[in-house]
Amino acid sequence: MRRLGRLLVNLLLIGFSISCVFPIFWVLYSSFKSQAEFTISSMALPKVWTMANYVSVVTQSQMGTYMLNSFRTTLMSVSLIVTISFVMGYCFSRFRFRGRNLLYTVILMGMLLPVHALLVPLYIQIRDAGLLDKWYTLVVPYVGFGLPMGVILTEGFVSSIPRTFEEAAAIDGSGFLRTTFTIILPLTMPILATLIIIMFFGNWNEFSFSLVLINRDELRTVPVGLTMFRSMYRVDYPRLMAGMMVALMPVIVLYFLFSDRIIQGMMAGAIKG
Amino acid sequence: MKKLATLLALLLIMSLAVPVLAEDTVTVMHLTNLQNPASDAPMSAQNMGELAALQEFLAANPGVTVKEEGYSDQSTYQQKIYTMAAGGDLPDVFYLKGSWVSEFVNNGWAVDLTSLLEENPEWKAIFNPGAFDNFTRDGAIYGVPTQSMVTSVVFYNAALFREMGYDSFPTDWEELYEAAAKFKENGYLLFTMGNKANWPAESCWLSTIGDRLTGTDWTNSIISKDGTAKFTDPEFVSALEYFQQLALTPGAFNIDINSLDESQGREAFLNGKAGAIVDGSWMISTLEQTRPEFFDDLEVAILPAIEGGKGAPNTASGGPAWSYALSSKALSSPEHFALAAGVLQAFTGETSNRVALENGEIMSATVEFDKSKTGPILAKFLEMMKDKSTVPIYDAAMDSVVIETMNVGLQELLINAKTPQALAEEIQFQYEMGN
Repeated sequence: MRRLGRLLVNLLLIGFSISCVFPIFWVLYSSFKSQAEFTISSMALPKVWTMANYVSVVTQSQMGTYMLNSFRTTLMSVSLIVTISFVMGYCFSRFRFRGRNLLYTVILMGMLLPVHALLVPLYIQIRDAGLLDKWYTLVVPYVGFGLPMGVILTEGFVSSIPRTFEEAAAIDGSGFLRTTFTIILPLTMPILATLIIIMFFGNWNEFSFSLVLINRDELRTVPVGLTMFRSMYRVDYPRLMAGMMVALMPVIVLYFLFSDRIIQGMMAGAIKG
Repeated sequence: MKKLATLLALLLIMSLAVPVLAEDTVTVMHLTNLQNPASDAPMSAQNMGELAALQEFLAANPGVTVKEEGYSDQSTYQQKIYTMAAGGDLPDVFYLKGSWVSEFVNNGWAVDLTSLLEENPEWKAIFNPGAFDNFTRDGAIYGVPTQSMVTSVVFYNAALFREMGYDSFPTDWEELYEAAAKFKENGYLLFTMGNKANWPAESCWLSTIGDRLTGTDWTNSIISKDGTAKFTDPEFVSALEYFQQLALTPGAFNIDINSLDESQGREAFLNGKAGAIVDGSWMISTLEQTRPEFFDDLEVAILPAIEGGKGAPNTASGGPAWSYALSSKALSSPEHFALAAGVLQAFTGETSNRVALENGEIMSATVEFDKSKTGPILAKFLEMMKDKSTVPIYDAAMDSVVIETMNVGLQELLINAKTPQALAEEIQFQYEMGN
């Protein structure tokens, strides 16, 4: 009876897993189909496996440029978000100063704002500031929208680290900056790794600002670049999927690298006495 | 010394940053894959025409730069152009959809092109009658049409219809109900539709059914907002009733109408499991590339006549949905306006239309072209359309809020979750709100 129950639960979970993983496999095998075959049957496995879509993505599209742009923007934004979040989160957690709660609330409010409501005002501001259509343009809104979550996560995490660490360090003669960056920073690695992953994917996939703030094709990022595979009344799905697979590869590699780091970070966070 | 070096470096950077001014630059934003070989393996026929015309323009105007920004996906382009318009940053020449015209005109974003067209009669003369209708407000023209289309073409599998005892596609609406029963008996579907994106039911079906019952005068009255026509008029309600009755007839449609997207909706037809599909003329190129097994028996028709309706029976919804327009930015100086107008004329002129027609696009202008290049389905389609005329496409001519209500409501109507009367009232309410 108990076995049967377990089997049922497992079957249910396996079902859920398949429904999560299947779309990726679908995109993968469909990218080897021809457009004609896909139109006739979108779900079936390809009868003839063709590399033509990949050849055309690599040789005829700007995918390389789009990916380079996405990497540059994401790398800059994520490093800024993580650095600033850590410093701010640490200060909010350890210091009580006049206006702290107000300031913290203002930052919290940033999470409540729907991005689309800000699209036009932000476009006008950035245009008037002369920052439109530059290689660093997207870093500005990305960091702005990333900070609230970053500050809240680090603030919460630092609060859970006992103050005794800093006290012990102070007794041993460590200064404020040294304590912050060589003792507390490594302890917050788990949350920073989480933050890096969330922000990396958020910025890598961001579409609206990338579309509105960038005009030149050579500065477009991957999500906007992928729409270039569609045309007005027709979408060459297999080719679009090949483009998606190419765009996905580095992200998958990075994901595995970082998920490893999370575990390492958790171990490093343990008190060694 | 170090300071001097820094200063020199700064000067160098600044001199690099100052743009080298060409004689003039015309900015263009449109739906294209000109710049992006990535977008679509064979470039669209319209884009080929535009490219050829642009090269002619550039050769005739040395020193002029045309800075193009292209998007190949409609919704992406829409989001971008609306943001730029709201920020007062439209390019000189841009691609304008019929349903956006009111908004662009009311906000002063689009320039009145009437006098420009009057000054160039030989340019205006190439356009088909009625081609400017979707882009005209209060007698003023705001856009010059490009490709044309028929949104309501019946593509049918003649072999399958013969098997069911029909020599050709039914020409009387009542026959559709019997046909649905016959198809169902033999394990087939009469029609297949993928209406997940919610516009196909309205654009490909209702625009034509509506006209059959209300007549074109009614539609024009709705578009011009003169107050005589209402969506709650019995003719329009009865159009919704006809559509719903067909949709609810067993065997007429697939049951998952609202869950399939357009390409999934086509599968049953392409696999020979459904007798017909009502789709736009843009489907022709897909069919000619896909070549389903019954390719030689693939025929085209229009939706059947409805007895007692006020509209003509030999029509299908169609016409141009998109146009080229000029923004108020183009008015900065007379010289600049002349150049921007030149680009506009190039994109919509003789060369552009000829090349597009030769490559299989249906355009809103009639110019001489080499007919030997057309594919078999396109040839059948052009032949079929010879004695037919087009009536307005709802989503190309009516305001977008009204269309949105109609589209969403039709999804419910088709699965019997809403009555025709209730939907008509909802649409009318939105329509009055927008006036």
